[in-house]
Amino acid sequence: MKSTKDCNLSKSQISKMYQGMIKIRYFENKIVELYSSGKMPGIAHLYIGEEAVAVGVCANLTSRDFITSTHRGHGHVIAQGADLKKMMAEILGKKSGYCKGKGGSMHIIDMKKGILGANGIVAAGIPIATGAGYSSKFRGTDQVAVAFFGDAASNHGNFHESLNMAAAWKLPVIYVCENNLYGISVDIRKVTNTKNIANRACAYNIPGYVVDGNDVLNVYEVTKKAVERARNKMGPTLIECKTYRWKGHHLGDPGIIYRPEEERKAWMDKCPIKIFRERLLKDKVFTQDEIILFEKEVKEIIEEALDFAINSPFPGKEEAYEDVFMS
Amino acid sequence: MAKYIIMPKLGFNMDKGTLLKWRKKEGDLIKEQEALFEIETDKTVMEVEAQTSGILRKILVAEGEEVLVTLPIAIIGDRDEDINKMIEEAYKKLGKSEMTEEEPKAAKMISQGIAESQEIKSKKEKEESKKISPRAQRKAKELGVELQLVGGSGLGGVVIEKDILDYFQLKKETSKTLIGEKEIEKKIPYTGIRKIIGDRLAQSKFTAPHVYFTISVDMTKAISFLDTYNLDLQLKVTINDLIVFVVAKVLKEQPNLNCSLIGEEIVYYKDINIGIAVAIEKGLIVPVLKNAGKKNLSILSKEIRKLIKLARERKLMPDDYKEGTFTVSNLGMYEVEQFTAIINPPEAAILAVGAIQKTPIVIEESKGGRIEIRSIMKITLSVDHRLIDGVMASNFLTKTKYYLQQPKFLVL
Amino acid sequence: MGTMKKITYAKAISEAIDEEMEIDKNVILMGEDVGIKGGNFGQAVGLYEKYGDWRVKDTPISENSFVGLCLGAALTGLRPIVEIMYSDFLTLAMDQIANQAAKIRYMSGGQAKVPLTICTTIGMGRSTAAQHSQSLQAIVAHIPGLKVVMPSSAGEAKGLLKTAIRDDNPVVFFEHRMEFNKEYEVPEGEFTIPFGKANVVREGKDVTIVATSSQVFNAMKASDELERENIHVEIIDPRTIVPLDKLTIIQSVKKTGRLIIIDEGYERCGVPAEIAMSLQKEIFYYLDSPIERITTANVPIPFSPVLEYEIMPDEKKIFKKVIKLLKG
Repeated sequence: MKSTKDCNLSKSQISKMYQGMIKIRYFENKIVELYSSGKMPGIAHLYIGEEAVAVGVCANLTSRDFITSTHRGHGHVIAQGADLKKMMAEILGKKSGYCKGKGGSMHIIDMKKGILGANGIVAAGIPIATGAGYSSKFRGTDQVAVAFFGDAASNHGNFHESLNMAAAWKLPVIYVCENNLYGISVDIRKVTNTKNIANRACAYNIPGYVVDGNDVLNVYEVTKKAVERARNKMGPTLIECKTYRWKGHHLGDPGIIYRPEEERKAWMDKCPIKIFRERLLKDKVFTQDEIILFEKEVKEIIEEALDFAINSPFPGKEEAYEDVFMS
Repeated sequence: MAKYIIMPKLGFNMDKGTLLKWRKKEGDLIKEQEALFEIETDKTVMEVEAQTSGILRKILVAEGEEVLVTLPIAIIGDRDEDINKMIEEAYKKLGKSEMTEEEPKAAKMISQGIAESQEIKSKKEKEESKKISPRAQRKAKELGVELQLVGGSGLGGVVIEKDILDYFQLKKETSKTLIGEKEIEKKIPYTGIRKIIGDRLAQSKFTAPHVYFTISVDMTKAISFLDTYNLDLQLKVTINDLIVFVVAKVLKEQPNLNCSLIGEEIVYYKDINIGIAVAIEKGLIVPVLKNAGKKNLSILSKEIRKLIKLARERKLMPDDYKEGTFTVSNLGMYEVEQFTAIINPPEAAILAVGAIQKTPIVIEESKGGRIEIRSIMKITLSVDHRLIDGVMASNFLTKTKYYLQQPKFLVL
Repeated sequence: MGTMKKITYAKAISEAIDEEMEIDKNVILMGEDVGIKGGNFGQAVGLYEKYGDWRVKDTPISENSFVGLCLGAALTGLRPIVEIMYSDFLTLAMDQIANQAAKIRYMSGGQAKVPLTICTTIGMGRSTAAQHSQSLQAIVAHIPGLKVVMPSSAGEAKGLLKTAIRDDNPVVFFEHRMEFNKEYEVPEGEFTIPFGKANVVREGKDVTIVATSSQVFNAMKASDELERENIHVEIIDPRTIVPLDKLTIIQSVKKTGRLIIIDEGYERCGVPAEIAMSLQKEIFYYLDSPIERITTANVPIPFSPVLEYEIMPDEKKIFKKVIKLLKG
């Protein structure tokens, strides 16, 4: 990781990024705890290990911009500023959750912060983000849209159709592919003939970048270029972030049958949080005590969110029939 | 602060796991996120990390044991805490591993339910197959039309609304004044008491083979006896009371008429309960005088009078017209000389009493005879020939005649 | 009732879109050939010239993604109308229609608003064969969160399309290809037709016919013939399948005692099956005969005209069915 001094970031921006990453990590760990104690309905898809991507990208966005996310969406949604209490409550199916308990982990939406939704269908968010970009260009604003998706989604029709339209119409969309090498258990390298997904950008005549997805500053810088490009009405960009998920595809999948142990251990050694923390200490941006304080504060926020969620009531039965249509 | 370490639920469908291996032993210091134990579930082996730091104070589940998810498997805490209570409670929880018997019970109930519904289904199939549209049914109910009488003109012979309306119209117009070519005076429904009595009588006549025996009784002495008797004792005993009294006595001496055919058995009753036919507005009612054989004439007479009064006022209780074993029916007051009555089921016989008429009869004497005018009454006994034969019937009648013609002896 | 004008069904559609685009500058139209060509059936003629490339957008052949794009635009301030050329192609966009657009409002607990109109076309009878002749309204009617509209005449299409565009919910609008070139009397000026209100096209006392889309006209032709037999048919155009105006149909059946439902979709699990079932409890005791339906047979639609006409609803089939019901 290069020095923080070369990045043109303020201390407050940096601390926000660090806290963002540990927020995601602690939140996801808390989800593991909740799940194993049988208190959580359904399942979740954990973002542990990929924190740098969400945080690095969203550090370039405001709440006026739009993001679409995936089933593995907690990271993106937290990085874009979602309310942890409402998230936790939604994950437990409570009335006080973001979606009144109707969406769950895979469908967290916060329209006010431009979070157009985590999505249970692979690649479904890509055209939606493209549409948000179309809308922004149409209305003449400088809002941009980011579509997060995985390596497997880049083989889906939606990816190609959307990049094609965004490129043809020069839409302000940033396509961020989190290549964690596996679509559930299928090794991307076995079903794709391109070494880098970013190479596909040339098929649409747009820029494509390969990025170290575990280096939050690298993600930040490359995204910054793409966002500027978009805001300056120069069209879409494809960014491929090489990264790895520590846990299985979803809670309950140990993720070890289909992945070699050495590969997993090697990536875990490159923990994005560890790398960033060491960098920050080395560059003397923060002291060890300050880091510990950040961690303590974030832990408290998570506990608060958990308390809120656990003590919230479930929705009433009659609510099952509400919100289908707008009257 | 000691905490339980639980068997974690690591999968959607996971409800139990096997503790394969403990990575640490009791007394070891555990660091958060350190690998603590391995579990196996559905052929997958998983490593589980500690969620907190502390000393592994107690292992509650041994390697190789299978445990339900969320149950405690170990205790982690400070070195010196007292955890005995926690251990006790944990063992209690672990000791509970009952499987409920719900499933087999539920299956039984379901299969019972299926059997029942099949029964109902076959019952329904047996019902009539005439098709009536729901609209027609509704209309028929509304207009009070009897569906069995309506023909169907709908597709496949289905009775439709139009058919109901047509029938209703037809009924209104044509049924006003004629049946065949006879003009109608009035129509009343065949219901209620008349129908009930009628049906019973029809049943009796068609089931029991009735045979009839008539005898003439000279009531001259009986009449003068009663006049004196009533005057002396200030009573109002009637001829009919006397007849009932005599019949009861004869039945005591000749109980083979006091019976019923029940199933395959002829049941002879100890009690002699005599039904007395009383005419009321809508038909006939037969209040029963219980234990007639045990009552003297004056008491019998009083009771009969009471029963008749209650009958005419329609105040009879069900007890008053049940349990009869023999019936006496008297149409004398209508001047009918003789008639044959229908046995009141399940009784075996009924005595029909005619009017007393002044009749010239021959009194036999040693040389020829003379003619006298006497009060003669004809009585006719109907018997169920399955139970009572001609000899029995004749004996009954001759005895009855004898006593009625010498009443003095009875009362004494 | 104001003055009437005579225009084609296609013109009526383009007028509806034009009027709404004038009222609300966030209304856009997107689809294959809608721009320069003015739509493959002439239903968007003149709009590209008037509103330009960004409001009337020709798309590449990417149904799922351009429906998704319109959904994304609907979520972020626009009011898109997206065109799917043939209802057969709805299948290509089913994820964005059924899993995304239909559900986002519900899944978000009411946060999201989806003012999206999806226009598509149905209609057999011109030998366009199995993949270009289907009427797939039943498939979208099955998904909670979608409104389903099936206009009959040009005036009905115009009024209902304006309502669809103004609706803040996802609406799937089924135009009939055989109607585009026909002329109809359409009211002058501004008018809309509300959803959930059926139209009693003709009154009668002997049998109720509920007919969707162009089947209304087949029913009317059959009804003219039936008048000669002294049979008086009541014809109801439900206009919208979701929401369905049950009350009007129930009242009609209470009067006539007989119900026939006609729809161009396949017989199995079609719109008539749903209509019959959703009403049957309330009309059961008023029926003189079982509920009947006339639909397309459960076979892929054949090419040769003699085969195609064999399997599709027409006025002769309607006439025969009514005669059988009433005369046995």
